Amino acid sequence: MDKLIHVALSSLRQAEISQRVVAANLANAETVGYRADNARGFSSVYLNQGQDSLEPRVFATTGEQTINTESGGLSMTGRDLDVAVNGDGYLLVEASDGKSVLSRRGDLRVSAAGVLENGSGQPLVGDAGRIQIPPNRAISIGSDGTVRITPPVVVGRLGLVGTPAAGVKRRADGNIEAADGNTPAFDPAIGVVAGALEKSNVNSVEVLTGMVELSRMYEAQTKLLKIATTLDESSASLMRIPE
Amino acid sequence: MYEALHVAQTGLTAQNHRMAVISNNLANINTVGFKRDRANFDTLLYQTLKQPGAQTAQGAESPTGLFIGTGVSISSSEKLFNQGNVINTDNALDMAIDGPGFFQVTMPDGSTAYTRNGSFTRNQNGEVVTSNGYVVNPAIQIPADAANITIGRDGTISATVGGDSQVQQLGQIQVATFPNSAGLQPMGESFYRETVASGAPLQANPGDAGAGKLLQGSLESSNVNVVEELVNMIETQRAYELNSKAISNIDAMMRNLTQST
Repeated sequence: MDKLIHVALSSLRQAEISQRVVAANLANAETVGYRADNARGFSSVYLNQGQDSLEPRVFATTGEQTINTESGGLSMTGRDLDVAVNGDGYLLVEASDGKSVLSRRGDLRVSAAGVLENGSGQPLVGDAGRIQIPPNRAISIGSDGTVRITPPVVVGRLGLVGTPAAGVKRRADGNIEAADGNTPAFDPAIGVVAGALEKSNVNSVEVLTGMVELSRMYEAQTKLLKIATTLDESSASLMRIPE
Repeated sequence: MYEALHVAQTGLTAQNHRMAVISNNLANINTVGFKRDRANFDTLLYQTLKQPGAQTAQGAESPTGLFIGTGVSISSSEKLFNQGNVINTDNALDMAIDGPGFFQVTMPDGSTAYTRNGSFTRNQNGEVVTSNGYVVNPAIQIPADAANITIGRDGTISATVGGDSQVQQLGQIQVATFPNSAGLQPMGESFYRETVASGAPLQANPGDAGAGKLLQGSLESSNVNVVEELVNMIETQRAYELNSKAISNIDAMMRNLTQST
Protein backbone atom coordinates (compact mmCIF):
# COMPACT_ATOMS: atom_id res chain seq x y z
CA MET A 1 0.00 0.00 0.00
CA ASP A 2 1.35 3.39 -0.95
CA LYS A 3 2.28 5.91 1.76
CA LEU A 4 -0.07 8.33 0.10
CA ILE A 5 -2.96 6.91 2.07
CA HIS A 6 -1.24 7.72 5.37
CA VAL A 7 -0.54 11.29 4.33
CA ALA A 8 -4.23 11.70 3.52
CA LEU A 9 -5.13 10.12 6.84
CA SER A 10 -2.99 12.58 8.83
CA SER A 11 -4.76 15.42 7.09
CA LEU A 12 -8.22 13.93 7.72
CA ARG A 13 -7.41 13.63 11.40
CA GLN A 14 -6.39 17.30 11.61
CA ALA A 15 -9.55 18.37 9.79
CA GLU A 16 -11.57 16.53 12.41
CA ILE A 17 -9.75 18.33 15.24
CA SER A 18 -10.22 21.68 13.52
CA GLN A 19 -13.91 20.96 13.01
CA ARG A 20 -14.23 20.39 16.76
CA VAL A 21 -12.64 23.77 17.44
CA VAL A 22 -15.08 25.36 15.00
CA ALA A 23 -18.04 23.61 16.66
CA ALA A 24 -16.86 24.72 20.12
CA ASN A 25 -16.58 28.33 18.90
CA LEU A 26 -20.07 28.20 17.42
CA ALA A 27 -21.48 26.66 20.59
CA ASN A 28 -20.05 29.64 22.50
CA ALA A 29 -21.32 32.25 20.06
CA GLU A 30 -23.48 33.71 22.85
CA THR A 31 -21.19 33.21 25.87
CA VAL A 32 -20.39 36.57 27.45
CA GLY A 33 -16.74 37.61 27.00
CA TYR A 34 -15.79 34.37 25.18
CA ARG A 35 -12.56 34.46 23.21
CA ALA A 36 -12.59 32.21 20.14
CA ASP A 37 -9.85 29.67 19.45
CA ASN A 38 -8.24 29.82 16.05
CA ALA A 39 -9.10 26.62 14.25
CA ARG A 40 -5.87 26.25 12.35
CA GLY A 41 -3.93 24.10 14.77
CA PHE A 42 -1.90 22.66 11.90
CA SER A 43 1.78 22.14 11.46
CA SER A 44 3.76 19.82 9.26
CA VAL A 45 6.35 17.11 9.70
CA TYR A 46 8.75 16.56 6.82
CA LEU A 47 9.95 13.02 6.49
CA ASN A 48 12.68 11.99 4.05
CA GLN A 49 13.81 8.41 4.28
CA GLY A 50 17.42 8.29 3.31
CA GLN A 51 19.51 10.84 1.48
CA ASP A 52 18.81 9.68 -2.04
CA SER A 53 15.21 8.75 -1.50
CA LEU A 54 12.68 10.17 -3.92
CA GLU A 55 9.86 9.55 -1.49
CA PRO A 56 9.79 12.44 0.95
CA ARG A 57 6.50 12.87 2.75
CA VAL A 58 4.96 15.84 4.51
CA PHE A 59 2.46 14.89 7.19
CA ALA A 60 0.03 17.24 8.85
CA THR A 61 0.25 17.24 12.66
CA THR A 62 -1.23 19.16 15.52
CA GLY A 63 0.23 22.62 15.81
CA GLU A 64 0.18 25.36 18.42
CA GLN A 65 -2.94 27.05 19.56
CA THR A 66 -3.71 30.72 19.26
CA ILE A 67 -6.60 32.72 20.63
CA ASN A 68 -8.52 35.30 18.68
CA THR A 69 -8.08 38.49 20.75
CA GLU A 70 -10.37 40.77 18.76
CA SER A 71 -12.98 42.38 20.96
CA GLY A 72 -16.57 41.18 20.75
CA GLY A 73 -19.61 43.36 20.18
CA LEU A 74 -21.06 45.42 23.03
CA SER A 75 -24.62 45.22 24.20
CA MET A 76 -26.14 47.72 26.59
CA THR A 77 -27.95 46.00 29.43
CA GLY A 78 -28.31 48.86 31.94
CA ARG A 79 -27.58 46.49 34.81
CA ASP A 80 -25.34 48.07 37.48
CA LEU A 81 -23.05 45.07 37.78
CA ASP A 82 -22.50 44.48 34.06
CA VAL A 83 -19.17 45.86 32.90
CA ALA A 84 -17.33 45.74 29.58
CA VAL A 85 -13.56 46.21 29.48
CA ASN A 86 -12.74 49.43 27.67
CA GLY A 87 -9.43 49.10 25.87
CA ASP A 88 -7.03 46.35 25.01
CA GLY A 89 -6.99 44.67 28.39
CA TYR A 90 -8.50 42.11 30.72
CA LEU A 91 -10.09 41.74 34.14
CA LEU A 92 -8.15 39.69 36.66
CA VAL A 93 -10.14 36.79 38.09
CA GLU A 94 -9.23 33.95 40.37
CA ALA A 95 -9.14 30.49 38.77
CA SER A 96 -10.09 27.39 40.74
CA ASP A 97 -6.40 26.73 41.54
CA GLY A 98 -6.11 30.19 43.19
CA LYS A 99 -4.03 31.74 40.43
CA SER A 100 -5.02 35.07 38.85
CA VAL A 101 -6.06 34.62 35.23
CA LEU A 102 -7.33 36.98 32.54
CA SER A 103 -10.95 37.32 31.55
CA ARG A 104 -13.16 39.58 29.45
CA ARG A 105 -16.29 38.32 31.12
CA GLY A 106 -18.13 41.24 32.76
CA ASP A 107 -21.46 39.87 34.01
CA LEU A 108 -20.59 40.39 37.66
CA ARG A 109 -22.65 39.39 40.68
CA VAL A 110 -22.28 39.13 44.43
CA SER A 111 -21.85 35.61 45.81
CA ALA A 112 -23.57 34.21 48.90
CA ALA A 113 -20.42 35.10 50.86
CA GLY A 114 -20.55 38.71 49.63
CA VAL A 115 -17.66 38.34 47.19
CA LEU A 116 -17.81 40.01 43.79
CA GLU A 117 -17.59 37.30 41.12
CA ASN A 118 -18.27 36.87 37.41
CA GLY A 119 -21.01 34.89 35.70
CA SER A 120 -19.01 31.66 35.82
CA GLY A 121 -18.41 31.99 39.57
CA GLN A 122 -14.79 33.16 39.48
CA PRO A 123 -14.03 35.81 42.15
CA LEU A 124 -12.72 39.10 40.78
CA VAL A 125 -9.20 40.01 41.86
CA GLY A 126 -9.02 43.66 42.90
CA ASP A 127 -6.15 45.87 44.01
CA ALA A 128 -6.31 44.24 47.46
CA GLY A 129 -7.33 40.69 46.62
CA ARG A 130 -10.97 39.62 46.46
CA ILE A 131 -13.56 42.39 46.58
CA GLN A 132 -15.89 41.99 49.56
CA ILE A 133 -19.27 43.73 49.32
CA PRO A 134 -21.02 44.64 52.61
CA PRO A 135 -24.70 43.58 52.67
CA ASN A 136 -27.77 45.69 51.96
CA ARG A 137 -26.20 48.30 49.72
CA ALA A 138 -26.49 49.49 46.17
CA ILE A 139 -23.30 48.92 44.17
CA SER A 140 -21.91 51.03 41.37
CA ILE A 141 -18.77 50.60 39.29
CA GLY A 142 -16.89 53.64 37.99
CA SER A 143 -15.20 53.90 34.60
CA ASP A 144 -11.79 53.41 36.27
CA GLY A 145 -13.03 50.17 37.85
CA THR A 146 -13.60 51.49 41.37
CA VAL A 147 -16.41 49.66 43.14
CA ARG A 148 -18.53 51.95 45.31
CA ILE A 149 -21.42 51.20 47.61
CA THR A 150 -24.15 53.50 48.88
CA PRO A 151 -23.60 55.59 51.03
CA PRO A 152 -20.50 56.44 49.00
CA VAL A 153 -17.64 54.24 50.18
CA VAL A 154 -15.02 52.74 47.87
CA VAL A 155 -14.77 49.01 48.63
CA GLY A 156 -12.16 48.09 46.05
CA ARG A 157 -11.02 48.43 42.50
CA LEU A 158 -11.35 45.86 39.72
CA GLY A 159 -8.06 44.35 38.60
CA LEU A 160 -7.69 45.85 35.14
CA VAL A 161 -4.56 44.87 33.23
CA GLY A 162 -3.30 45.51 29.72
CA THR A 163 -2.61 42.76 27.21
CA PRO A 164 0.71 41.14 28.24
CA ALA A 165 3.63 41.92 25.94
CA ALA A 166 4.29 38.20 25.52
CA GLY A 167 0.73 37.61 24.30
CA VAL A 168 -1.87 35.31 25.81
CA LYS A 169 -2.47 31.57 25.79
CA ARG A 170 -5.14 29.21 26.98
CA ARG A 171 -4.72 27.14 30.10
CA ALA A 172 -5.80 23.53 30.43
CA ASP A 173 -8.96 24.63 32.29
CA GLY A 174 -9.93 26.97 29.43
CA ASN A 175 -8.93 30.20 31.18
CA ILE A 176 -6.63 32.69 29.51
CA GLU A 177 -3.28 33.70 30.98
CA ALA A 178 -0.18 35.59 29.86
CA ALA A 179 1.99 33.50 27.54
CA ASP A 180 4.95 33.81 29.93
CA GLY A 181 2.79 32.65 32.85
CA ASN A 182 3.21 35.88 34.88
CA THR A 183 0.34 37.99 36.16
CA PRO A 184 0.45 41.36 34.36
CA ALA A 185 0.62 44.57 36.41
CA PHE A 186 -2.41 46.86 36.78
CA ASP A 187 -2.77 49.33 33.96
CA PRO A 188 -4.53 52.66 34.65
CA ALA A 189 -5.14 53.12 30.92
CA ILE A 190 -7.67 50.27 30.90
CA GLY A 191 -11.17 51.19 32.04
CA VAL A 192 -14.63 49.68 32.09
CA VAL A 193 -18.04 50.71 30.79
CA ALA A 194 -20.75 49.96 33.34
CA GLY A 195 -24.18 48.80 32.16
CA ALA A 196 -22.75 47.09 29.10
CA LEU A 197 -21.62 43.56 28.31
CA GLU A 198 -19.05 42.37 25.82
CA LYS A 199 -20.40 39.48 23.81
CA SER A 200 -18.48 36.53 22.46
CA ASN A 201 -15.97 37.49 19.73
CA VAL A 202 -16.97 34.57 17.51
CA ASN A 203 -17.40 35.97 14.02
CA SER A 204 -20.13 33.82 12.50
CA VAL A 205 -19.30 34.61 8.86
CA GLU A 206 -15.65 33.75 9.39
CA VAL A 207 -16.52 30.57 11.26
CA LEU A 208 -19.00 29.42 8.61
CA THR A 209 -16.46 30.06 5.84
CA GLY A 210 -13.85 28.11 7.79
CA MET A 211 -16.32 25.29 8.24
CA VAL A 212 -17.07 25.07 4.53
CA GLU A 213 -13.35 25.18 3.75
CA LEU A 214 -12.64 22.34 6.17
CA SER A 215 -15.49 20.38 4.68
CA ARG A 216 -14.07 20.76 1.16
CA MET A 217 -10.60 19.84 2.36
CA TYR A 218 -12.06 16.76 3.96
CA GLU A 219 -13.68 15.81 0.66
CA ALA A 220 -10.39 16.26 -1.17
CA GLN A 221 -8.63 14.00 1.31
CA THR A 222 -11.29 11.30 1.02
CA LYS A 223 -10.78 11.54 -2.74
CA LEU A 224 -7.08 10.84 -2.15
CA LEU A 225 -8.04 7.77 -0.11
CA LYS A 226 -10.00 6.52 -3.10
CA ILE A 227 -7.16 7.23 -5.53
CA ALA A 228 -4.74 5.39 -3.26
CA THR A 229 -7.08 2.41 -3.22
CA THR A 230 -7.42 2.43 -7.03
CA LEU A 231 -3.65 2.66 -7.49
CA ASP A 232 -3.12 -0.19 -5.11
CA GLU A 233 -5.74 -2.31 -6.84
CA SER A 234 -4.26 -1.74 -10.28
CA SER A 235 -0.76 -2.60 -9.15
CA ALA A 236 -2.15 -5.73 -7.55
CA SER A 237 -3.91 -6.66 -10.81
CA LEU A 238 -0.59 -6.38 -12.67
CA MET A 239 0.73 -9.11 -10.45
CA ARG A 240 -2.17 -11.38 -11.17
CA ILE A 241 -1.32 -14.48 -13.18
CA PRO A 242 -3.29 -14.41 -16.43
CA GLU A 243 -5.74 -17.20 -16.73
CA MET B 1 -15.73 13.84 14.06
CA TYR B 2 -18.33 12.45 16.40
CA GLU B 3 -16.95 14.76 19.10
CA ALA B 4 -17.59 17.79 16.90
CA LEU B 5 -21.21 16.69 16.54
CA HIS B 6 -21.62 16.58 20.32
CA VAL B 7 -19.95 19.96 20.73
CA ALA B 8 -22.42 21.50 18.29
CA GLN B 9 -25.24 19.73 20.09
CA THR B 10 -24.33 21.48 23.39
CA GLY B 11 -24.74 24.76 21.49
CA LEU B 12 -28.24 23.78 20.35
CA THR B 13 -29.25 22.75 23.88
CA ALA B 14 -27.96 26.00 25.40
CA GLN B 15 -29.75 28.17 22.83
CA ASN B 16 -32.90 26.14 23.38
CA HIS B 17 -32.77 26.92 27.11
CA ARG B 18 -32.16 30.57 26.39
CA MET B 19 -35.18 30.67 24.11
CA ALA B 20 -37.26 29.22 26.94
CA VAL B 21 -36.05 31.99 29.27
CA ILE B 22 -36.88 34.66 26.68
CA SER B 23 -40.35 33.20 26.05
CA ASN B 24 -41.02 33.17 29.78
CA ASN B 25 -40.01 36.84 29.98
CA LEU B 26 -42.31 37.72 27.09
CA ALA B 27 -45.17 35.67 28.54
CA ASN B 28 -44.90 37.65 31.78
CA ILE B 29 -44.85 41.05 30.17
CA ASN B 30 -48.04 42.06 31.98
CA THR B 31 -47.37 40.29 35.29
CA VAL B 32 -47.27 42.82 38.11
CA GLY B 33 -43.88 42.89 39.85
CA PHE B 34 -42.32 40.36 37.46
CA LYS B 35 -38.53 40.54 37.13
CA ARG B 36 -37.00 39.31 33.93
CA ASP B 37 -34.49 36.45 33.77
CA ARG B 38 -31.26 36.28 31.88
CA ALA B 39 -29.59 33.04 30.82
CA ASN B 40 -25.87 32.90 31.58
CA PHE B 41 -23.60 30.68 29.51
CA ASP B 42 -20.34 29.11 30.46
CA THR B 43 -17.77 27.17 28.45
CA LEU B 44 -17.52 23.46 29.14
CA LEU B 45 -14.27 21.66 29.98
CA TYR B 46 -11.27 21.91 27.71
CA GLN B 47 -9.58 18.80 26.41
CA THR B 48 -5.78 18.72 26.28
CA LEU B 49 -4.48 17.50 22.94
CA LYS B 50 -0.97 18.82 23.42
CA GLN B 51 0.48 19.83 26.75
CA PRO B 52 2.27 23.21 26.78
CA GLY B 53 5.88 22.72 27.79
CA ALA B 54 6.04 19.34 26.09
CA GLN B 55 9.38 18.84 24.38
CA THR B 56 9.18 19.28 20.64
CA ALA B 57 12.92 18.85 20.18
CA GLN B 58 16.04 18.94 22.30
CA GLY B 59 15.79 22.21 24.22
CA ALA B 60 12.62 23.32 22.48
CA GLU B 61 9.21 23.25 24.13
CA SER B 62 5.69 23.71 22.89
CA PRO B 63 4.86 27.27 23.99
CA THR B 64 1.09 27.15 24.10
CA GLY B 65 -0.05 23.57 23.65
CA LEU B 66 -3.40 22.70 22.18
CA PHE B 67 -6.64 22.68 24.15
CA ILE B 68 -9.98 22.10 22.53
CA GLY B 69 -13.24 23.27 24.01
CA THR B 70 -16.06 20.77 24.36
CA GLY B 71 -18.91 23.23 24.04
CA VAL B 72 -21.16 25.39 26.13
CA SER B 73 -23.53 24.94 29.02
CA ILE B 74 -26.14 27.18 30.56
CA SER B 75 -24.55 28.03 33.92
CA SER B 76 -27.34 29.97 35.58
CA SER B 77 -30.43 31.97 34.94
CA GLU B 78 -30.36 35.18 36.80
CA LYS B 79 -33.17 37.50 37.88
CA LEU B 80 -32.51 41.10 36.94
CA PHE B 81 -34.06 43.29 39.62
CA ASN B 82 -34.16 46.57 37.70
CA GLN B 83 -37.04 48.81 38.71
CA GLY B 84 -40.16 48.31 36.62
CA ASN B 85 -42.45 51.15 35.61
CA VAL B 86 -44.89 52.36 38.24
CA ILE B 87 -48.49 52.39 37.09
CA ASN B 88 -51.15 54.42 38.85
CA THR B 89 -54.25 52.44 39.78
CA ASP B 90 -55.91 54.63 42.48
CA ASN B 91 -56.72 51.48 44.42
CA ALA B 92 -56.05 52.22 48.11
CA LEU B 93 -54.33 48.92 48.85
CA ASP B 94 -52.19 48.73 45.74
CA MET B 95 -48.56 49.39 46.65
CA ALA B 96 -45.36 49.64 44.66
CA ILE B 97 -41.85 49.70 46.09
CA ASP B 98 -39.73 52.42 44.56
CA GLY B 99 -36.22 51.07 45.13
CA PRO B 100 -34.89 47.81 46.49
CA GLY B 101 -36.90 45.64 48.88
CA PHE B 102 -39.63 43.00 48.92
CA PHE B 103 -42.99 42.62 50.59
CA GLN B 104 -43.04 39.78 53.09
CA VAL B 105 -45.86 37.28 52.85
CA THR B 106 -46.75 34.39 55.17
CA MET B 107 -47.40 31.31 53.06
CA PRO B 108 -50.06 28.72 54.03
CA ASP B 109 -47.29 26.42 55.36
CA GLY B 110 -46.10 29.16 57.75
CA SER B 111 -42.91 30.02 55.84
CA THR B 112 -42.17 33.52 54.64
CA ALA B 113 -42.05 34.36 50.95
CA TYR B 114 -41.06 37.61 49.31
CA THR B 115 -42.66 39.45 46.43
CA ARG B 116 -42.59 42.70 44.49
CA ASN B 117 -46.25 42.32 43.55
CA GLY B 118 -48.14 44.83 45.72
CA SER B 119 -51.72 44.29 44.50
CA PHE B 120 -53.17 43.69 47.96
CA THR B 121 -56.75 43.36 49.18
CA ARG B 122 -58.52 42.59 52.45
CA ASN B 123 -59.78 39.14 53.42
CA GLN B 124 -62.90 38.37 55.46
CA ASN B 125 -61.01 39.11 58.72
CA GLY B 126 -59.92 42.50 57.45
CA GLU B 127 -56.27 41.45 57.12
CA VAL B 128 -54.16 42.77 54.27
CA VAL B 129 -53.61 39.83 51.88
CA THR B 130 -52.09 39.26 48.43
CA SER B 131 -54.32 38.50 45.45
CA ASN B 132 -53.82 34.78 46.24
CA GLY B 133 -55.14 35.34 49.79
CA TYR B 134 -51.83 34.98 51.65
CA VAL B 135 -51.42 37.30 54.64
CA VAL B 136 -48.91 40.12 54.34
CA ASN B 137 -46.33 40.11 57.13
CA PRO B 138 -46.45 41.96 59.57
CA ALA B 139 -50.21 41.24 59.66
CA ILE B 140 -52.30 44.40 59.63
CA GLN B 141 -55.99 44.35 60.44
CA ILE B 142 -58.17 46.95 58.80
CA PRO B 143 -61.60 47.27 60.46
CA ALA B 144 -64.59 46.74 58.18
CA ASP B 145 -65.83 50.27 58.77
CA ALA B 146 -62.50 51.92 58.00
CA ALA B 147 -62.52 54.64 55.39
CA ASN B 148 -59.97 56.95 53.79
CA ILE B 149 -57.15 54.41 54.01
CA THR B 150 -53.82 56.15 53.58
CA ILE B 151 -50.43 54.47 53.22
CA GLY B 152 -47.42 56.65 53.83
CA ARG B 153 -44.09 56.41 52.03
CA ASP B 154 -42.73 54.76 55.17
CA GLY B 155 -45.47 52.08 55.05
CA THR B 156 -47.71 53.34 57.85
CA ILE B 157 -51.37 52.53 57.18
CA SER B 158 -53.85 54.93 58.70
CA ALA B 159 -57.59 55.34 58.27
CA THR B 160 -60.67 56.87 59.83
CA VAL B 161 -62.73 54.23 61.64
CA GLY B 162 -66.48 54.18 62.19
CA GLY B 163 -67.24 57.70 61.07
CA ASP B 164 -64.73 59.09 63.54
CA SER B 165 -63.04 62.15 62.08
CA GLN B 166 -59.83 61.31 63.95
CA VAL B 167 -57.25 59.43 61.80
CA GLN B 168 -56.14 56.21 63.43
CA GLN B 169 -52.84 54.40 62.77
CA LEU B 170 -53.43 50.71 61.97
CA GLY B 171 -49.91 49.39 61.42
CA GLN B 172 -46.81 49.64 59.33
CA ILE B 173 -45.84 47.59 56.26
CA GLN B 174 -42.23 46.45 56.36
CA VAL B 175 -39.97 45.47 53.50
CA ALA B 176 -37.07 43.03 53.41
CA THR B 177 -33.84 43.55 51.51
CA PHE B 178 -31.22 40.92 50.70
CA PRO B 179 -27.43 41.14 50.41
CA ASN B 180 -27.75 39.42 47.03
CA SER B 181 -31.31 39.53 45.72
CA ALA B 182 -30.22 37.78 42.49
CA GLY B 183 -29.76 34.66 44.65
CA LEU B 184 -33.46 34.44 45.58
CA GLN B 185 -35.30 31.38 44.36
CA PRO B 186 -38.39 32.13 42.28
CA MET B 187 -41.24 29.84 43.38
CA GLY B 188 -44.04 30.93 41.07
CA GLU B 189 -47.03 33.20 41.75
CA SER B 190 -44.47 36.10 41.79
CA PHE B 191 -43.01 34.85 45.07
CA TYR B 192 -39.38 34.34 45.96
CA ARG B 193 -37.83 32.22 48.64
CA GLU B 194 -34.70 32.99 50.66
CA THR B 195 -31.66 30.82 49.84
CA VAL B 196 -28.09 30.50 51.09
CA ALA B 197 -26.98 32.56 48.09
CA SER B 198 -29.41 35.41 48.72
CA GLY B 199 -28.32 35.80 52.36
CA ALA B 200 -30.63 36.42 55.30
CA PRO B 201 -33.34 39.07 54.86
CA LEU B 202 -32.81 42.44 56.52
CA GLN B 203 -36.09 43.97 57.66
CA ALA B 204 -36.46 47.69 57.23
CA ASN B 205 -39.17 50.30 57.23
CA PRO B 206 -39.81 51.59 53.72
CA GLY B 207 -37.76 54.71 53.07
CA ASP B 208 -34.89 53.65 55.36
CA ALA B 209 -31.38 53.71 53.90
CA GLY B 210 -31.04 50.91 51.35
CA ALA B 211 -34.79 50.17 51.25
CA GLY B 212 -37.22 51.60 48.73
CA LYS B 213 -40.18 53.75 49.64
CA LEU B 214 -43.82 52.76 49.24
CA LEU B 215 -46.12 54.34 46.72
CA GLN B 216 -49.81 53.97 47.47
CA GLY B 217 -52.31 53.48 44.66
CA SER B 218 -49.62 52.24 42.30
CA LEU B 219 -48.36 48.92 40.99
CA GLU B 220 -44.94 48.04 39.65
CA SER B 221 -45.22 46.64 36.14
CA SER B 222 -43.00 43.88 34.79
CA ASN B 223 -39.46 45.07 33.93
CA VAL B 224 -39.39 43.11 30.67
CA ASN B 225 -38.24 45.28 27.79
CA VAL B 226 -39.91 43.98 24.62
CA VAL B 227 -37.34 45.43 22.23
CA GLU B 228 -34.47 43.90 24.17
CA GLU B 229 -36.18 40.51 24.36
CA LEU B 230 -36.89 40.56 20.62
CA VAL B 231 -33.26 41.36 19.86
CA ASN B 232 -32.18 38.53 22.18
CA MET B 233 -34.64 36.24 20.44
CA ILE B 234 -33.20 37.01 17.00
CA GLU B 235 -29.69 36.49 18.34
CA THR B 236 -30.65 33.17 19.90
CA GLN B 237 -32.30 32.02 16.70
CA ARG B 238 -29.22 32.87 14.64
CA ALA B 239 -26.93 31.10 17.10
CA TYR B 240 -29.22 28.07 16.91
CA GLU B 241 -29.07 28.14 13.12
CA LEU B 242 -25.27 28.34 13.18
CA ASN B 243 -25.03 25.31 15.41
CA SER B 244 -27.45 23.28 13.34
CA LYS B 245 -25.44 24.32 10.28
CA ALA B 246 -22.35 22.91 11.99
CA ILE B 247 -24.18 19.64 12.59
CA SER B 248 -25.32 19.31 8.97
CA ASN B 249 -21.82 20.19 7.77
CA ILE B 250 -20.17 17.57 9.97
CA ASP B 251 -22.78 15.08 8.82
CA ALA B 252 -21.93 15.89 5.19
CA MET B 253 -18.27 15.22 5.90
CA MET B 254 -19.08 11.87 7.44
CA ARG B 255 -21.32 10.94 4.52
CA ASN B 256 -18.59 11.89 2.13
CA LEU B 257 -16.14 9.67 3.97
CA THR B 258 -18.38 6.65 4.17
CA GLN B 259 -19.97 6.80 0.72
CA SER B 260 -17.41 8.13 -1.72
CA THR B 261 -14.44 5.99 -0.76
